[in-house]
Amino acid sequence: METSKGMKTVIEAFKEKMTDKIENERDEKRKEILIKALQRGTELLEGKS
Amino acid sequence: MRFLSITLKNVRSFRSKTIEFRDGLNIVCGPNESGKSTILESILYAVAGEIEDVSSLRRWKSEDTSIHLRYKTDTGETYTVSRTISPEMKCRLENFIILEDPETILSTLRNHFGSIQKTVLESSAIVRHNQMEILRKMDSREIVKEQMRAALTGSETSTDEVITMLQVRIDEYQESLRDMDFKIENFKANLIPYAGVDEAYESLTSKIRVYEKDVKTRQREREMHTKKLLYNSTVKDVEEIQKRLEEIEDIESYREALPLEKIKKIEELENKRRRLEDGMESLISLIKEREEELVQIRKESDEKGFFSWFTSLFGKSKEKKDREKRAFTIEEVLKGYRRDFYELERKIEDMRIEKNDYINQIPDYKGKGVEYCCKVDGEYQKRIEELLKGLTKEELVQSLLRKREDADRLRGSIFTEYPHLLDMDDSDVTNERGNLEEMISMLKQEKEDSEAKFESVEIRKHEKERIQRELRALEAQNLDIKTRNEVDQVVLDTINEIYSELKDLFIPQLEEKAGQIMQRITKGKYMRILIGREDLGIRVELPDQLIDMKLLSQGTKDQLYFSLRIGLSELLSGGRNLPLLFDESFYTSDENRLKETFEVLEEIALNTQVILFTHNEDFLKYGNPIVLSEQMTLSDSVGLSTK
Repeated sequence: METSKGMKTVIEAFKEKMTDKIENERDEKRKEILIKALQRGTELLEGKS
Repeated sequence: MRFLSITLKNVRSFRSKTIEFRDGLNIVCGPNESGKSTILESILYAVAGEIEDVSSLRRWKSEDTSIHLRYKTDTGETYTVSRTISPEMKCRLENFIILEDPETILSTLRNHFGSIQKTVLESSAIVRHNQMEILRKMDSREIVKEQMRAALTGSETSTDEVITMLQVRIDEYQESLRDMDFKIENFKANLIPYAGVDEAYESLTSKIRVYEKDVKTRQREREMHTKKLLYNSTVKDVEEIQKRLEEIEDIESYREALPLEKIKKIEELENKRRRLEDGMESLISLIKEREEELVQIRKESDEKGFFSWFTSLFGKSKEKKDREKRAFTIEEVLKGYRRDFYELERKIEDMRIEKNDYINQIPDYKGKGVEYCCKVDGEYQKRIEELLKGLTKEELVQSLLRKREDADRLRGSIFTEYPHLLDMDDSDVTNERGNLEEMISMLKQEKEDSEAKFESVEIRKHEKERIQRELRALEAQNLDIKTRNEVDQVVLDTINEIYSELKDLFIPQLEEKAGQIMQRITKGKYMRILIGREDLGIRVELPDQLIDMKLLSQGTKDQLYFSLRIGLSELLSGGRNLPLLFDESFYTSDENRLKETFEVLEEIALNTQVILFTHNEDFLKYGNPIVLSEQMTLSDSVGLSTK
């Protein structure tokens, strides 16, 4: 979680983790869910939802 | 890392202003509306490149607004980051080279400052207004949470709040799903009585369609039968009219053949002959009279004997002369009469010959007169009129042509569809047509019966479809909620995982960083800071004991708070020693507390640049004074030497 640029925030870590999960997901339906989850989580954490 | 200076051009109340900063504690002092917040916002904007409303920084009516922040990195390099707001938004980073590519600038600034997100900087490097006072009232858990809140999340939103909200939302989804499952089951149960409706509907639709088709077919057949009868009738009409026309033609030829003129001529000749014969008789009478008269005269001449001989010696006597003259005249007349007579005779003979010629030409009409011919002609005429029946011959011909066309058309039509009808006679056609009528009637009745049944089936089908539509809507809604539930569950699980990891990583690091700073500013009195993993409670370690934060003095709490804040700033910036900026943070503190606070700040300022914005001139004595004044809008304000 820590990099030379400082500790990652929850948003940054969330985006990274979700992106990894999406890339590794083979099932298309599950992939769609993960993509929606990425969008939803980002909006919630950024206070836009 | 330390800020060296900031230059504002046409930024809010500043037309052109440069503030220079020094190491250690800088006190920027000015009354309200002197621009303290403007300088702080400008520093933040220069680093982060984001602000709520960038146009609010523009000086009114100015066309040329820019901010230039000069700073020195921890490695000793000096940079100037320049942000132009108008006439267009631009950014530039200057060192020995000028960088203008936004991505390169962003990357370089991250290298220098760590996280340059506005919210992260605000939660670490900047202490606003009365945050100190608020934080002093918080218990330790809340302080840590508050520190972690925006900094860790990376936005104004609290991760804990997000987690709580997601949990609540998921619970609501679960309840909705249970409720919906129940409703769906009900709808499915409601559909059971409608089993077979679709099949019945299809069956009746198909049946009715077949009946309609059959009826149409039979009606067409019946129409053809009617056409056949009409055709037969038309053919008869054609034959009848033809016959009439033929008879008319025959009669006309007979009429033409009537020798009326010849008979008239014969009669005329006969009449003429008779008149001539009458004339001849008259002439004969006249001749006879004259001859008798002549004879008489001659006789008179002869009876006169001797006397007449004696007198003749003395010449003719007047009487004789008269007699001779009369006799001569009579002879002349007789000649004329005889000539006329011969003429008449010849004429009569000619007429007789001519008449015989005519009679020989028309032997059938020998003895028949004009009256007879006229009578015959009249009968012919009457017959023709009977045959015409009020029409002219031309009209009758046209009628025949039309009937023929009708017959041809009817025939063609029948031949195309039902050629076998052409060979059938009227009675068979009529019989068949009767059968067709019965069949059509029967089919119509059956169709009506089916339509009556269809009506009620249709109503049931519509009802079933309505239930099915509602069910589908419910199922779609159910699926939507399931999807949302699944999505939120993924988000919740992932955030929990990350948050837990972050906390596990963050808390020990914060303990270490803050502990080092606390040790330094308390000159070794407090060794470590400990943060509870579960309750986030803070304790400080003395050489021989651990003390809960709530048992500390206010001054020690301030020290603890600063340690946590600076530790957080270092943590989030990746170990960089960013300046701390305080914006009117102590205006509610009394003199004793201020003294304690500034002692801490001075201690901190030994290693970290601190910039404090205040209206309180009393603070100037604590650090490097930078005085702002409403009158000072054109010249630079140079910091006085620090103490």
